[in-house]
Amino acid sequence: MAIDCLVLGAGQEVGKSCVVVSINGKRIMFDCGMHMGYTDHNRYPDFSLISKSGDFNNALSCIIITHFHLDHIGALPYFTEVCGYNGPIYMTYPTKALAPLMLEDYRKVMVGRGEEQQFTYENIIDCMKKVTAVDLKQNVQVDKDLQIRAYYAGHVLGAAMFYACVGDSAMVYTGDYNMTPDRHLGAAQIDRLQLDLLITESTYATTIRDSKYAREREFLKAVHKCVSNGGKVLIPTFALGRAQELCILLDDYWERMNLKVPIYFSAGLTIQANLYYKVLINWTSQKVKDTYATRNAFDFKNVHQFDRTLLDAPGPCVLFATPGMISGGFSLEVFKHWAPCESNLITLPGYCVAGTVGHKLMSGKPTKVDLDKDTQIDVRCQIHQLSFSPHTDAKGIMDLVKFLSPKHVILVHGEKPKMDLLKSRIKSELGIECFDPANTETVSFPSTHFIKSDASNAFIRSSLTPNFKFPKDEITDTPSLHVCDERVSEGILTMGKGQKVKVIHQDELVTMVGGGKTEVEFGYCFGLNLCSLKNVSKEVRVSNGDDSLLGVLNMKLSDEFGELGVRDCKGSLEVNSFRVRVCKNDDCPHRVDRDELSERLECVFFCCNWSILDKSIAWRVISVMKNMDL
Amino acid sequence: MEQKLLSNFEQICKNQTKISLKSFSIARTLLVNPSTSDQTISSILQNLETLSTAVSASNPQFYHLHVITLLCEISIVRRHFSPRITTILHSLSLHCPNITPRAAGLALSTSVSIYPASASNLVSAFSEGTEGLFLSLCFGSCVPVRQRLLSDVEIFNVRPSLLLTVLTGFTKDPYPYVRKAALDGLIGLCKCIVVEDRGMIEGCYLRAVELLFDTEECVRCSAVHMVSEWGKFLVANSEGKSKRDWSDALYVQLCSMVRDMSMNVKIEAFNALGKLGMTSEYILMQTLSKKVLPITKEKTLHGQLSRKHSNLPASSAAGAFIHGLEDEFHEVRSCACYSMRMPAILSAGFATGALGLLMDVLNDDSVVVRLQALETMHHMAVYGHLKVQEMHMHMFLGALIDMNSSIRLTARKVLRLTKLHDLILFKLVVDSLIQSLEKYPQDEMDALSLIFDIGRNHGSFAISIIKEFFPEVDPSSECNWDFNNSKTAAHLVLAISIPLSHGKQQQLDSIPSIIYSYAVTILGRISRSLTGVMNQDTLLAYLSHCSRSSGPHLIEFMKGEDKMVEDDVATKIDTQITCPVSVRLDVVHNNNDGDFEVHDNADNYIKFILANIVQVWPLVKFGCIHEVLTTLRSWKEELATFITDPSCQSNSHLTFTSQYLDVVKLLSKAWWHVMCPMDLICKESGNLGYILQKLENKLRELQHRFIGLSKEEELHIQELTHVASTLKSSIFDESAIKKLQFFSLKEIIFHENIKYMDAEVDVGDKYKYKYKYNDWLNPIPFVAGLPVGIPLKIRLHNVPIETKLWVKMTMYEKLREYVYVDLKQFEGCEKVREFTFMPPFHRTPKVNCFVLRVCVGMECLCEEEVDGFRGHGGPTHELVYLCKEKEVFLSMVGKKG
Ligand SMILES: [Zn+2]
Ligand SMILES: [Zn+2]
Ligand SMILES: [Zn+2]
Repeated sequence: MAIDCLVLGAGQEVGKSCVVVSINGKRIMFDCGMHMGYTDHNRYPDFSLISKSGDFNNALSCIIITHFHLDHIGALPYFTEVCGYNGPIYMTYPTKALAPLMLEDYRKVMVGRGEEQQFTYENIIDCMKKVTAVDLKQNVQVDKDLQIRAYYAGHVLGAAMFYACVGDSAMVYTGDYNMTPDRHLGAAQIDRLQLDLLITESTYATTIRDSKYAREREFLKAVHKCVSNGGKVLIPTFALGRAQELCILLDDYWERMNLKVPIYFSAGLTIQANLYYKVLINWTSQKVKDTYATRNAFDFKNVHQFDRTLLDAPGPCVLFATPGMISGGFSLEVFKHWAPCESNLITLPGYCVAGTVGHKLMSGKPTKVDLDKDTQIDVRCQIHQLSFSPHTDAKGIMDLVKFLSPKHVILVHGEKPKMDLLKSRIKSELGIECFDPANTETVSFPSTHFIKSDASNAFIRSSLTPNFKFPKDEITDTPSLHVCDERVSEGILTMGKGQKVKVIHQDELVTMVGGGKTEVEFGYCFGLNLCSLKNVSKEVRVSNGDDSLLGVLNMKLSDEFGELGVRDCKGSLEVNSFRVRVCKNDDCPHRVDRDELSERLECVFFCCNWSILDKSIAWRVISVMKNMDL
Repeated sequence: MEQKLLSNFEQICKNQTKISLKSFSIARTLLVNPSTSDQTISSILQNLETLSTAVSASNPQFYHLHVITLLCEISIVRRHFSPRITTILHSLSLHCPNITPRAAGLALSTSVSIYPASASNLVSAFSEGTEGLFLSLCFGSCVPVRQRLLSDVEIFNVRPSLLLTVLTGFTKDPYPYVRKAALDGLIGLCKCIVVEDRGMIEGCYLRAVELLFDTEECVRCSAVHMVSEWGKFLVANSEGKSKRDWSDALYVQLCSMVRDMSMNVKIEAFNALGKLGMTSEYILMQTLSKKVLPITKEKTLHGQLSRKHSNLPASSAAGAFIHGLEDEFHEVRSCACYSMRMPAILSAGFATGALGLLMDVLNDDSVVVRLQALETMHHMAVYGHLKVQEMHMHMFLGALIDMNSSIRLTARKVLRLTKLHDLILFKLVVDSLIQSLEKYPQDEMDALSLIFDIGRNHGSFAISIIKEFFPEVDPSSECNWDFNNSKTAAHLVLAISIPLSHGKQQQLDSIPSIIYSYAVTILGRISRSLTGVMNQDTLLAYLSHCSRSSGPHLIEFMKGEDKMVEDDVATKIDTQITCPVSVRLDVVHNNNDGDFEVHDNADNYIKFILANIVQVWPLVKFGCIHEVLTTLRSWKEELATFITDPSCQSNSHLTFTSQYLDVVKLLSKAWWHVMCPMDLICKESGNLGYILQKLENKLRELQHRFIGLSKEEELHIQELTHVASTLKSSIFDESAIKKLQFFSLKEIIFHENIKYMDAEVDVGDKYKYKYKYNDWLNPIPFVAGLPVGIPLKIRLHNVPIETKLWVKMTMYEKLREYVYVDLKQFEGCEKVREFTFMPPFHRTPKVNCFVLRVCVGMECLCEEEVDGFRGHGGPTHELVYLCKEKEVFLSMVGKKG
C-alpha cells in the first residue's frame, strides 16, 4: 500500500490551496481554494486531474476545508455546484459560519468589477448545505475505514489542522497555522501522533521572527503617543482577525493605563464579526476563554460605535475602519479627512495590494497621494506599519515537524527558493524525508500497513507480563545501562498452509511444529556497498570474487569475535550457529530493503541464518558488518 | 440502631453459602458513624476474620477484595485496631495463595501503611516478605495493581539497589501510567540513593531523556522532572570539563522541551530550568534568541541513548525563553519569568538581554505574569544585574500607573534599587512617580518614600530637579501655589533627601533653604512616608536645621541613625527591600515623660527582645532574610529611643542589646549569603567578606567593651565568634558549612552589673583655642616635616585604670601613628575620667592642609598578638575602638586666612 499525494494548488506558491491525497485506497481533498492573482482558468485548481471523466463523487472520499480564507475555500462552490461534486465536505463550525460571508463578499467584488460570475449566491447557500461541521478533537468516521480529526491551528477563527487515518496509515494536513498565540487566538495545538506524512504550509520558510511583544510595544507606543498629543488614530483593518486582535490589545492597554480617549468601530462587518467572535468564544485564545466567566473579552469596555458626525469632531480618538488596504469604502473616507493633519496617525497592515492607497503609503514617504485624476490628498500624518502575522515562522514549522516527527514531510503554500532551504534543513537537522512538489505533481511513498493476525494464548499471556532485560551493549559505546522489553519480539509469526496468520510465543513453536527436534532458523539478507568493503583492507587486493569478499569479512569478524571462533567453511563463514554467505538470489525470501539498495550499483548481498540460541550474536555480527558500510 | 445493624450484619455473615454485598454496606454504615462503639467494630472484625478464612475455602475470590477493602477502611478510621488487622491480613495472605492480584495489592498496601517500614520488630519480619510480594505483584499481569504499587513505591521499603533496577525496567512498560509511576519512583530514588556507579547514573539519566519523546503527555511530564533531578545528580557526580559538558547538555535538553505542545510539560520544563545553576554563557544567550547564534551553530552536546536522537544540537535551546514568555498560557509565562532569575544572576550579559524581554512582558494581559516579571527584575537588581536603559522606560514607567496596586508596588520596589544613569532618566522617573501619585493617591506613603530613596541615591540629579522646580513654588512668583498637591509633596521629599544623599555634596548650597520650611507645612504627610527612616520629631528638627543653615554635612545631625550612612550600597540592598514599618513606636514617645517609667519600659523591652530574638533565628534558616532584617531594624530603632546617655548604668544594658542586635543582623546576613543556594556567586564577591569583617569587629566590641559579663554571656559571644569564623572559612571550603548544621541562636540572659566602656573625644582645647572648635575654617596649624600636637579632650566612661589605651591617628590607610595613653597620669575615677591629651603626629606631609582621623582604642590583651603593629611602637594586640573616628583639620602655618 502507498500514499500518493497529488498537488493541485499551492505547490511552490501561495494561493488556491488544494492537495488530493490517496491513502490506503481512500482519496481526500484537502482545501479547495482559489488564486486571487488570476482571473482565467488558472484561478482554480485543475480538477480534471482527479478524474478524467468528471465523476468526482466516486473519485473522492471527502473534502476537508481548513479555514475560511479564500485561498483555501474559494473554489468550493464552483467545485460542488458547477463541477457537480456531491460527496461529504468537512470543516469546523466557525469556518462553516464565516465562509459564506467571505464567499459572498468576494462574489460581490467580482460582480462589481464586471467579471464573469463563477457562482451565484444560491450556489454558495447550496454548497454550504452539503457541509458537515466538526468540532476540535472530535473523531469523525467518514466511512468504515477513514477517520478524521481536527486540531486547533490558530491563524484565524476556526482554522484547523486535520488528521486523517485509514487503517494504520496516518497523516496530518496543517492548512495555515500559527505557532505563537496572539491576544485573541491561541497557538496551534496537536497531540504527538504516529504519522506517515505531514503536509505543512511554509509561507515563511526562512523568516525567524523575534518576540511578538516587541511588535505590540511599538504599536501601543505609537498609538499612545499620538492620542496623548491630541491626535486621531486611523486603523484600517480587515473585518476578521486583525481588527479583533488590535482591539483587544488596545482595550487592555486602555484599561491598564486608565486612558479615557474613545475607541470607535466603524459600522458594518466589524461589528458583525465581533458578534461571531462572541458566539464562537471556544475557538479563541486561552486568555479569552479564561476571562469569559467574568466578562467576554469581545465586549470591549472602551469601544463605541462610530458616528459619521464625529469625523471632524475635535479631540483625540482611535478608529477601526474597513477595508484594510484603504482601497475604498469608509477607511478611505476617513483617510481623506485625517491624513493632512500632522498629529494624526495611520497604521497600515503588513501587506497591501499594489494600487491601493495603503500600498502607496507603504512605499517611501509620500507627501501627496493621488486618489484619482482630480483628487489629491496631502499626507502629513504619521504612518505606522504593523507587522503582525497569523502565519508561523520557520522556527515554528521546524518545531512542529520535530514534535510530530513524521516519516515524510511535504511543503506547500510557500515560495520555491525558500521552501528548498527549509526542505534541506528538515532533511539535515531532523533526518526526515521532505518534498516540495509543484502544482500537478504527485509524490508517492510507502505507507505503514499492518496485517491482522491471531495470537496464541501463550503469547498474549507473555505480552501482559513485564519481561525487561538489561543487555550489555558492547558494539556501540553507549553507557552500560540499556533497557529492553522483549515480550513482543518473543512472538513468532507463523503461517501454516491454508491457515490464518498467527503469532505464537517462541516457546510454543516446538510443540506446534510437532515432536522431534526442530531447528528454527532465522534468516536475514541484506546488501553492503562494495567500495566500503574494499576500504576495510587496503593491503589485500580485493577482486570481486565472493571468496575474497568473505576473506575480508573473515578478517574483520575474527578481530571482533575472536573469542567465539570464526570458522571459514567453503562459501560461508560461521560463528556458532550463525552462518553468512553471499546471496545471488534476487528473490531471496529473507531479503530486506530491496528497493533502496537495488539502485546502488556496487552492492553485494549477504544472506545470514542462525538459530534462536545465537540471536544476540547474530545481531552483533550483522551490525558489525553494517558498520563497515558507512 | 447500632445493635440492630450489627446483628443484621452477623446474620448475613453466618449465612455463608450466599454472601451478599449487603453485609459490607452495613459494616461500612457502622464504620462511618463516629459514634459506633469499638466493641461493635471489634465484632465486625471478628466476623470478617471468620469470613475471610471461609471465603478462601469455598467462595469466589471476588469477596476477598471486599473483605480487604473493609479492613483497609477500618485501619484508617480506627487506627487502634491496626495490630489486629495486620494479623488478619497476614493470615489471609498465608492461607489464600490464589487471592486475586488486586486484593493482594490492597492487602499489601494496607499492611505497610499501618506500620511504616521501620516501626517494630513484629513488622520487620513481615517486611522481608513485603519485598517479595511487592515484586511478584509488580511482575504479575495485572496492570492496575502494577501501576498502583509503583505509584506508592516508597512505602514498601524495597532495597534501593533492587528498586532502581525494577523501576528502570518499568520505564519500558507499554502502559503509560506504569511508565509514569516508574519515572516518579526513580525521581524519589535519586534523592535517597547513593550510587557509586557513574554508568548507572548516566544510564538512568539517558533513559529519562529517551522518555522525553514519549507519546503520552503524563509520561513526558515525569520524564522532564526526572531528567532535571538525575541530571543534577549526574552533574554533581562529574568533575572538571565533564561537569560543564553535562550541565550544558542538561540545560539544552530541558530547553528543547519548552516547545512541547502540552502546557504541563512546558511548565515542568521551566520549573526545572529555574533550578539549574551552572550553564555556559553562550547557551544562556541562545535561549534569548530564536535565531541560531554563530557560536551555537554546529555545536552539539552530550548525546542520548537511542540512535534516533543521537546528538543534541546546542541550537535546540534557541529562543527558549522567548517562547516561554509569549506562550498562550499564563501559567507557562509566569514560570518562564521565574526561571530567568537564575541565569540572570549567573550572567550579566543574559540579564541585559533578558531585561529587554521582561520589560515587554509588562504589557502582558495577565497580572500574575506582569508581577512575576517585575519580581524577576527585582531579583536582578538585588544582584546588581539590572541595567535599565531609556528604551525600557516607556514600559517600565507604565507599570507605575498600572491599574493593579501590587504591580505598582512591585514596580516601585524595583525602582528603589535601580541605578539611573542620567538626568533624563531620573526626570522621567520622578515625573512618572508624580503622575502615579496624582492617579493613585492611596500609594502616597510608599511612593514618597521611594522618591526619598532615589533622591538619596542620585543626589546631584535631585539637585537639578529641585533647582528647576523651586521657581514654581517661590511665593515671590505670581502663581498661587497649592502646597498640598502631590507634585509639591514629591519635590519637597526629594529636597529633603538631598543632604542625606550618598553622592558628593558639592552643590548643596545651591538649594534655597527656604524650601525646607515649606516642607514643614506638610510635615505630617512627609513624616508618614518616611516612617522607616526617621520619626516626626527628628524630621521636624532636621527640617528646621536645614532651613536655617545652607547646610553642609547635614548627615552628622542624624546621630544614632548610623544605618543611613554606615551601609554601603551592597548591604543596603538587604535592608531596604522592605516596606516601611508603618505601625511604629508612637507608644514609646508617649511614655517618654518620666525617667522612671522609661527605665522600667527599657528593661521590659530588652527582655522582650532577648526572648524573641531566639524565635527569629529559624526564619533566617528558612531564608526569610528580609523579614528578619526588618524586625531587627525596628527593634533597634525602638531601642534607640531609650538610650539617653550610653555611660549610664541602665543604658549599658540598652547599648549591649543594641549591639547584640547588630551582631545578629550581620550574622543573619552572612548566614544567608553562605547558605542560600541561589547565592553561589555572591560568596566570591567582596560582599560577604565585608559583612564578616564587620561582624568580627562587632563581636570583639561586645566581648571587650563591656565589663562584668558573666561566664555564660562570654561563652555565648565566643560561640558566635566561632560561627563567624566558620562562615568565613566556608568561602574557601564548602565542607565547613556542615559544621554549622546544628547551630541555632540560644537565649542570652542578662546579669545585673554590665558596664559599657566608652570614650568621647573632642578636638581642640578650650584654654588654648578659646572654645574655637576645629573645623575647615579653624584648622590646627602645622609645619611640614615637624611633629604637630593634636589637642584632644577625652572623656572616658567605665574604663579601668589598667587598660592599655591608644590614640590612633590615620592620614590614610597606610599612614597611621599610635600614641600610648597612660591612664595613671590622669585624675578621675573609673566611672568618669576626663582629661586633655596632646598626642604628637610626626609625619606631617608637604601639603597646604590635610585631615587626620583620630580615634581612641583599647588593646585586647587576651587575644593573640598581631604582627602588623610591631615595629611602629604601637599596640601588639588587636584594638577595640571606644569611639567613632573624629576628623581633625590641619593647615600649614602661614597659609591661614
Ligand atoms: Zn489563511
Ligand atoms: Zn493560506
Ligand atoms: Zn538471501
